[in-house]
Formats: sequence, C-alpha cells, structure tokens
Amino acid sequence: MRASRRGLLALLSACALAAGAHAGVIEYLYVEPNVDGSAGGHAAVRFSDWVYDFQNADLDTLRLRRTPYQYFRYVYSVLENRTIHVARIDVSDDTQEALRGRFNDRYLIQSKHFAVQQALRNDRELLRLLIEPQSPSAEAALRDRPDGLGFRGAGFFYGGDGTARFEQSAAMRRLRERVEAQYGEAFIPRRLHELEQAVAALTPTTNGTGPPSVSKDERPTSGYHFSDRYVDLCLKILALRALSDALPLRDDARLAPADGGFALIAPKQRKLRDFAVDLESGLAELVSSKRPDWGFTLLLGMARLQAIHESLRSGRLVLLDGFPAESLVIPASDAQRDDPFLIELFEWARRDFSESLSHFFETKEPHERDFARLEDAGNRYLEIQRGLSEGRAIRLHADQLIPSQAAVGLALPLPELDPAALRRAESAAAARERIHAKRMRDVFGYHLVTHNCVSEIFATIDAELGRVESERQLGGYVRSEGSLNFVPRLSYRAVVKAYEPAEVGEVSSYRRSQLEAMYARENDLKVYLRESNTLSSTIYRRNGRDSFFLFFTKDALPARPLFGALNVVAGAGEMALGVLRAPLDRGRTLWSGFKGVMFSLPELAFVNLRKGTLEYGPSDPPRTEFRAASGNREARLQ
Amino acid sequence: MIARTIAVLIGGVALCFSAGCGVFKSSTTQASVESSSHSSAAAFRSSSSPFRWSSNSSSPSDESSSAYQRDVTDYTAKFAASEGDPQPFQRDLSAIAEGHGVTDWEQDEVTYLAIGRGLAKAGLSEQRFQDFAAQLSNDSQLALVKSGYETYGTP
Repeated sequence: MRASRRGLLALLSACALAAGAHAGVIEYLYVEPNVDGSAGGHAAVRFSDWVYDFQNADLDTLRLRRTPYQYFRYVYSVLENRTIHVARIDVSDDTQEALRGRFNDRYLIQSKHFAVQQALRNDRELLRLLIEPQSPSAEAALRDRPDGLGFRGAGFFYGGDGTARFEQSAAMRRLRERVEAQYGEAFIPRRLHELEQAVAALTPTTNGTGPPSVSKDERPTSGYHFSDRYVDLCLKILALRALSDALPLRDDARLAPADGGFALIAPKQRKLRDFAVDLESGLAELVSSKRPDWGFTLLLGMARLQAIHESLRSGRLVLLDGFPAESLVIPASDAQRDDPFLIELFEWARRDFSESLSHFFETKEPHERDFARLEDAGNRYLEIQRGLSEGRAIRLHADQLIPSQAAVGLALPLPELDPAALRRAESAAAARERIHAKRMRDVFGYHLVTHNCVSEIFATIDAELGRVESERQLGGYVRSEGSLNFVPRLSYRAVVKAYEPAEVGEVSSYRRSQLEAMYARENDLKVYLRESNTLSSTIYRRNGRDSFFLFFTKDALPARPLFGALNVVAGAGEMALGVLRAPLDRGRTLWSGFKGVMFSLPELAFVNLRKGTLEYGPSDPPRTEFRAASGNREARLQ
Repeated sequence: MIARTIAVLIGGVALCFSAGCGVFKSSTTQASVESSSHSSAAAFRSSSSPFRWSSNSSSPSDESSSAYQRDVTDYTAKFAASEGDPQPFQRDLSAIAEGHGVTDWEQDEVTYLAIGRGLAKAGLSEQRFQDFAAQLSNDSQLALVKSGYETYGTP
C-alpha cells in the first residue's frame, strides 16, 4: 500500500514536471481594423493577466503600453467593436518568463527615457525662469505645469496664495514631538537651514555634457537632473516647514463623504488606529532617510495621518482627494442624462470600493499599498456617485491615484547663480533636450512599415531569443524585416504558421456576439434586415466618433460592394451637409463625411475596415469572451 | 488588377488617416488634454485602465505585491548591471513604486526583497552585490536584500 502510494506520488510528480515543461502560455493577439487610427488593425502580446502593445505617442514615437487583459478585451472587442484573434502558444515557464521579462524591461526602460526627456525640459524651463527677473516668481510659474516642476503635495497644507491655516493640528504636533524626541529639538530648524543652503548652492550642468544615450534595452545613465534636485530640496523644505508649524490639512484637499459605505464600526476604527500608529512611526524615520525625494512622501504621509485622525474622530472614513489636475473630464451633460455607461462604471467603482474596504480591514497588517488601493477606489466611487447625484462633471484618470495637490505662491529659496552662468546653462540645457528628443525619435520613432505595433513585437521577441532559440522554444521564427508581416493581419497568419499554436480562437466583436444571440432566438431574415443597417439596428447607436454610414459590411461579403456604394453616397451626403455647416462647426461635419467616403471605398473592393464603434454595449458582463476555433485555423480569418 | 485596386484603396485610406497603432495617453500626455471633456466611453478608452480588473487567480494582496515585486526586480537587475549612482536609482524606484500605490517604499519589505532578487538576476559578483546593497539599505533592510538575493530562482 505504502509502495503503491509512493508510486502514485512519483507518477504525479512526473506528470507535474512534464506539465511544468510546457506550463507557460503566450498569446499573440490580432485586433481587426476599424476606422480612424486603426485602419491597419492592431497587434499585442499577452502574458497571463497583462497585455503589452505598442501605441503612437509623443515625439512621433511608438510607446510600449502595459494594460490588464480584461481592460484590453473590453475596450477593443466591446467599445471598439473589433474581433480579437488569439493564438495561444504553449511554452516552458522559462520561456514565458524570459519573454515577459524582456517586454517588461523595455516597458520600464522606455518609461525612464520619457521621464528623462521630461527632466531635460524641466531643466531648461527652470533655468529660463531663473534668468527672467520679470517672471512673477519661479515657483508660481512652475506650479502651472502639472507634468513638470510642480511642488506636489504642498497643496495639502498651503492654499492658492501660498498661505496656510492659522491653527495647529494635534496629529502634526504629536508627530513633531516624536521627531524632536528621536533626533533632538534642534533637528528640524537645523535640517531646514541645511536644505536652504543646499538650494542656494545648486549649480546646473554647464560643462558641455551631452544628453544620455537612448536605447531600448539600456536604462539611461542620466544622473540626477538640476530640476529634480531643486524640486526634491524644495519639497523637503516645505514638508519640514509644515511639520514645524504643525499645519492642518486644508479642507479642499480631503473628501469627507456622508455615504453609509464610509461609516467605521469599532473593529474598523481599531484597525485604522493601528495603521495610523505604523504610519506615524514610518514618517518619523522618513525625515532622516538617505533617499533624495522623501519630501513628497512626508507631505503625503502627514496629510494621510490627519485624514485618518479625522476619520477616527468622526466615525466615517475621510480620504484625500486623489485626482490630479490633468484628469480627463466626462461632461456634466453625460451625468445629467443618466448615461448607462456611466451607471455601469459606477457599479464597477462601487464593487471595487467595497472589495478594497474588505481587503484593507481584513488584512492582518495592511501596508501602504493596501491603504492606497482603498484611497484610490474610494475616490473613484465618490467621484462618479457625486457626478451622477449632483449632475456635475466627473473626473477620470489612468494609473494609480496618488493624492498630490500642488500649491502656488510659496516662499521658496532659489539657487544663487550669476546671470551669465544661467544663460550658458540654459543654452546647454536646450541643446541637450533637443538632441535627446532626436535620439528618442531615432530609437522609438514610428514608421508605418518598419517600426509599427507589429514589427516592434517581433523585434522584442527577437532581441530575447534570436532565430535559433525562437525555433527551439516557440516552434518557429517570424521574420518582420523585409516581409509583409508588418501588416497585423498577415503577422497573425505568420504566427499561426510558424509557432503552430496549441489553440487558436477569437474574442468576437460585441456586435457579432449580439447578432449570434439574436440569430439563435429570432427569425434569421428579420434579424438580418433589422441589424444590417445603422437606421434600424438595435445593437448599434450612432455616435459622434463615427462618420455617417448606412450599412454594416463586415458580415455581408457578397453584398459588400453594393453596401459600400451606398455608404459612399451616404458619406458624400454628409460632406454636402458639411459644406453648408462649415461656418458653424469649423468643418467638422465635412471632415466626418470625407472620412465616411474614404472608409467606404475599400468596401467596393470587398474589403471591410469599418465596424462601427460603441459608446456603450448593454448586456451582461463580460459581453465578449474567448472561443476556441474549430476547423482550419487560418480559415477563421476569412 | 483587382489586387492593385484593393492595395491602392487600403493604402490610400491608411495613409490619409495615418493608420497608426492607437494613441497612447500616458500620465504626461494627459496633461495636454486638460480641460477638454470627453464622452464617458471616450474617456474610458483614453484612460489606459481607470479601474482595477480582477485577475483570474490571485488575491488582491498577492496580486499587488507580486506585480510590484516583479517591476522592482526587473528594474534593479537592469540598473545594477551598469555602474550607477544610488540617488537616481532611488528616484526611479520611487516612480515605479508610485505606480503600485507605494510612496514610502523604505517601509515596505517587498521592496528590499525585490532589490535582492534583482541583484541576483543581474548576476552580480558577491563584492559588487555587497557594495550596491550597502549603498541602499540599513542593517535590517540589508538582511531582506540578502534574503531576496539568496532565494532568487526558487518558486
């Protein structure tokens, strides 16, 4: 019995090992074309929950983007109404990790190169402001650049005119006493004096040092920029001043909702109190940190500490306002008309907030990232809730929300530099910025054929594996240079042919998914007649993003030229109307009609590009999902 | 003839509308659309990913911790492979950490474990590892870095 159990265990282990040899999966995703900037289709690579793809970005470059798969699927297959073709390639864990690592490295490194470009611009702008004595004040002008030299976090304590509230915060007094007990009573004034001296002694680079080189696989060796040093020193000064004066958190920097979901029962209050104790302890250590940029972290931590103490006093969760000034804004009109998409967004936000609350309060020792998740989810939930209930504009922001209000009119020290040195430095900074931008374009520049969303994927795979290892580990090699594989559709065929995927399939477009459900429960002819055109379709609603067209031609291959001709006529009609409207809408309708005609022309030759986009796709989530293909793999693309 | 017509039509459309690969809206480029308003769906499309999308397998804590750890490991490996001043590295680390909701990364043990793993991934010599780690950490943090270094490669 024991022997047979051992045998079974050995067998299971062998199976596990065998499975482990091919436990990894990589998916190549080809997204069918649609109108505007996606007429050629799109391509991406998926590793587990994350998708990497290349998108057009600043400086005419292609930028590697990393997004959650479910978001990618929702945007492309539902809102963009485009079918995603999927080739699943079985690989070893090592191969999957190596390729994921290469894509992730390039993602992080490219982000750093863009940050360097921004820092070079900040250097030049800071020097320009220091040169111009007529400039109102360097710091006020700098603050107006949300993506540049803003003094993030100062707005928690300082208002629009640089002044702070008069009274003191008890939480801040306690933190100050703790710092004084730990480092001595003279610590804060001494550090402030040292920091102010450091600002005065700051010198920009004038020795002709060129900008850092740009490479896809090497992080920039750019050092620590003049503007970065200045901002870091100023933020430390502002944070220590706020601590020294025990400044209270400004009312407009925080959210104190009356919503029942924010009520704190006793166990939650205990958890929050414990978190505040840990936070205070961490902040006391932060003031002596060796990291150069602790100023913002201290400002944010002190603001959070006060928000938490207010939460404990009031019995309701108080959060910092996390939306940055540059957030996207959904207009109040959408909120006032109960836009169904917004209502669904609100449901997601509510669910996310509820999960974040449970997660934070059920975690034994929550970290800052757990609190940040709660803060992020609470902000998004409140923003949509208030927008819908009060009919006001709603802010939306990509990425993690990190509260970071800036302030103006702050009395900050300036570097003591003579005008001639400043002018030389500014000239050198402008040259560095210009050269670096050119290098960025040289390395990351977009080109329709040689550097597009497809070619960069294969270039990245090639950089990691090379031809021989690609053939060994992926089962084949896809050549991007000197072939037509730069076309997304053809690249998918090349992948299916070369890598011999374990499975191919698709995530059907929203319209197609809905049509299939309709065909299954209604009369085919009735569904076809109703849904084939934009006038009677119940799936599609005309929106401001699409130019006017009459017929969907994706599922009408035999009739495509005829429908295309009618779409050309419809587009021409919109153009004619556009000519009349041009003085009123600055040619918007005319341009829309022109695009309508242009995207209908390929239909005359049996080629479909336009699918129609959606503002919202009513249905049960997930609306679209992966289905394995049956039969000939390549036939699925016909 | 037909093939040429198709190619010309598609090529014409592509060139007319610059058939790119979508438009990336990073946090920096978002600044350029400040004060412009978008329909809800358009804003959603442009915002990269404004909501948390649950993963298939992990708890939220594991998910955020492992994503953070992976980024710090990957970046440390790249940084450590070349000579570098620790201050820019610390600033880079701050930028990466903020993306995961961490600003006080010195208080997060995952940071130091990930740095250790990154140093191992870079294949640093023992001496270079000691030098690099000492620049970044105090005694207790150094223990975590060593732990990450020694356990790199184990599941």
